[in-house]
Amino acid sequence: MPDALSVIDRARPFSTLCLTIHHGSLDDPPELAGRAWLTAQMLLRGSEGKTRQQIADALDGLGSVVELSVGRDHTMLWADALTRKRPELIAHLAHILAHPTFDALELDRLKRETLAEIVALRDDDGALGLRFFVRALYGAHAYGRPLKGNEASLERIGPEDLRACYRTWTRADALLGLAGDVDPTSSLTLAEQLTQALGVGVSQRPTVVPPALPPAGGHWRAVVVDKPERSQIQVFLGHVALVEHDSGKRGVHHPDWTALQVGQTTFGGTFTSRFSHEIREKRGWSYGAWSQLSGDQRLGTFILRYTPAAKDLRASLEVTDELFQRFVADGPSDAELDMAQSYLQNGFVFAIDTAQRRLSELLSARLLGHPDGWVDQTVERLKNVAHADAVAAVRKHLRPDALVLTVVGDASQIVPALSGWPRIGELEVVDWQTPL
Amino acid sequence: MTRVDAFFDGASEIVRHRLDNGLEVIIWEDRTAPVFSYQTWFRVGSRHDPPGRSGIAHLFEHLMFKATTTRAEGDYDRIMEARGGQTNAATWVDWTYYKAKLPRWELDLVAELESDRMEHLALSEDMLEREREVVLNERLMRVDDDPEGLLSERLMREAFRVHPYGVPTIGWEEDIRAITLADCLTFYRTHYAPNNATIVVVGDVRGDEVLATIQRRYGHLAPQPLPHEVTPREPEQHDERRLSLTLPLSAPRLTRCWKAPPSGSAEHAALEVLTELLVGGDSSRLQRTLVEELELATDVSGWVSSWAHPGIFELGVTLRPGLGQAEVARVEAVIDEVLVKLLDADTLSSATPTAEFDKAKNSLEAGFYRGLADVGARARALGHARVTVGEWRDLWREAERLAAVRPADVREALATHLIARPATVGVALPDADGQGED
Repeated sequence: MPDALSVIDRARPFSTLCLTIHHGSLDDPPELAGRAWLTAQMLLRGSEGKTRQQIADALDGLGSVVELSVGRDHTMLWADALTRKRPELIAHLAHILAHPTFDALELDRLKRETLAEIVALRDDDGALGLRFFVRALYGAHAYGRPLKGNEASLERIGPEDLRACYRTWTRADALLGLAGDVDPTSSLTLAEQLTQALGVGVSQRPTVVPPALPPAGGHWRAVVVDKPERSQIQVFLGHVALVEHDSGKRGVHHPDWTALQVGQTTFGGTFTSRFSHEIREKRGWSYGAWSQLSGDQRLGTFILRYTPAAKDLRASLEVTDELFQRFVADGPSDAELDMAQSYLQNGFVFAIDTAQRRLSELLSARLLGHPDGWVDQTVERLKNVAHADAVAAVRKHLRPDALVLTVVGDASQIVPALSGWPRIGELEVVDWQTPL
Repeated sequence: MTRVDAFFDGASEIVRHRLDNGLEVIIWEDRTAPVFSYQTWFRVGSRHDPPGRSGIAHLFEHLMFKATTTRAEGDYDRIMEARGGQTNAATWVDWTYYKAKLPRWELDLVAELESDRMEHLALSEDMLEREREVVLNERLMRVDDDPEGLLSERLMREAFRVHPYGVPTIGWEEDIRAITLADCLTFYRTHYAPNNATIVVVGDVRGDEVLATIQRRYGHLAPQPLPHEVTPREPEQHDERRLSLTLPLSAPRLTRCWKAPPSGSAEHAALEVLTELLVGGDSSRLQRTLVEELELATDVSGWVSSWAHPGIFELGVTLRPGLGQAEVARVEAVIDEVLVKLLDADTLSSATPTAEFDKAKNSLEAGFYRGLADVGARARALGHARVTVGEWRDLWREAERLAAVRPADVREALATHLIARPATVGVALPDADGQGED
């Protein structure tokens, strides 16, 4: 049986649904990277008796927005509709989900589109930098694989691969979320209707061992993505975290997760935190400067991000290094932790202040394996973080001596700026047009 | 305090009041979630920037987050963040606004902070210099190192040679560098007056409490004589205008824009429907032709400006990587063909709406409701309408205008504004060796 949950808000005649399948890019064989992505997208490109154009006409005709996204562990279908159009939307989606054709010509067209999008991504310096940063951070691990695949892997994927992928989707792995002008008593019926053709049982998913923590060598590993005529540099710094614990709990389940979230917020999680204050407010070096801790059930990823002018790169990196070292050595102050806890507790309401946002939080908690009530206990969890625990988490899990650095910009300016700085160990320069 | 006008949306009454000093307050009570949005809209945007000081409205918006005579630099952000508040601000051609979303019990706090910086801003040379650097970095990010941003800036300069809509909101670099502290103080005294502002409050608040709070915090502010705006009228464009950039790019870009009527008119609504027909969703005409059938593009987009003065209708195309000048010319020809074909299609000629026409209308109706879920988005829609159209209830009137659009209206708008008029065309092409030049 598929599972379902609802958030009701009848103020407007409009609703959103999200169908999640427990299958993502980590299920792709390495040589077929992008298979889960293509499988999802092909649902909108042909079903029995309906061409891609007919499907688009039908869904657009309702005024609906339908999007299919793929993450490492899940495939998600988001769709919305005016209340009077919802029955038609459900009928169309049920047909699409039950009878995909995975037409070969349409797949070729999608692969060409996907490849073009992958190449066009190079024109966005931020997106380009993120792609190379992910590659540098996770290396050959499955987390480093591109979700949409690459030229070589897409070339190998055929309709049969997609059918094989689709056959692993099961009803028991499906979760339906509804938000807005909905009837919660019908949610399970809708979930049944949408997943009627999927398989039974629970799919077997690969076991993914998280990547190891980086060695604390004292040097940063740097990748320079050489893109000419740039006057600004995209800077990404970070490392993986929370991958080891005696209990076997990792990432968002690690006992230190919430404490580290509070701790890192004091460094770069708010506009007035140390990092933003020193880089933006005090020196005007970047429009934004922030840190973030993201995670899943396997690991956490800590990132520092800012965009200085080329002339300020070295000085800003030195300040960042010094700030971060001092932060980890001394830990955040009580005043900083009070502020971070207050910010996170009071601000959490904005993560659930619309039906759709609340649905997103509930789905996320469920998919990450948190128990019922997790979302509603968020404020309490934040409140219960002792300052000493936040300081200990910062000292234990943040690694100023083992950061991975990725910068996008003109290498003729970047390499001289970095050369001779002892912090940089291994330095690799790659052309911005290197296949992604 | 005077109750000026109101609107009943079927569930609640939204009301506008005016203080004796001219400050307007629009209140929409909604207790769906225990939060509220508080926005302050000033009727000053980049079109009001003095010559040689482009970017001052935007730079000044940044400076509003600095110190006041009663609060040190950074206090505003620290106080708001400690309460969990989400704050930001934005400047565009017609307006500047400051927004905060807060838990429901923080009404007096935000009113106190906002009225304080409206009255007691305390700037220094040092603050200006630091914020100037931030803005110059923002310019690098949004324009100089962003192909879309750069192309858009150049296109607007070509399209509007007289009207200040041709000057970028972020400002020309040399102008940003030339702005002085005296300029900023003059700008503040001139434009940040209660009679030049509208406060919009949407969410879990009580109307009487909002009015009492705002009266207490802002009631003593004196109105200011506002400058008489003399905006030069953009002359009729008789010929096509073209510009071309060569940049380190993977995929060529094409942008075409035509002059369009201001927001708040039936013609504008017809152009909104036209936008849906051309680029709204996978079934739209340009998406289907350029992306799907001919495989010339990865993305098509379009919009009609919702500005106070006559603006633009714009179509944008990102071509597939590896294509060049010849394919850009082909895309232009295809766009022309699609427009002419649409002009003669049943969709716009039939007396009764076709499925394609209904699709566009359904999409706009769904978009209307999609945009009303968040209290901040609702406050923004009300403030924007008040400042651009002059009528805050235009949020609903626009929906009514869209519902009333007939195929013949869209046909007329297409014929008049796109087919009969010359466009301004911008092209960005990849250079051969990855080394860009202008």
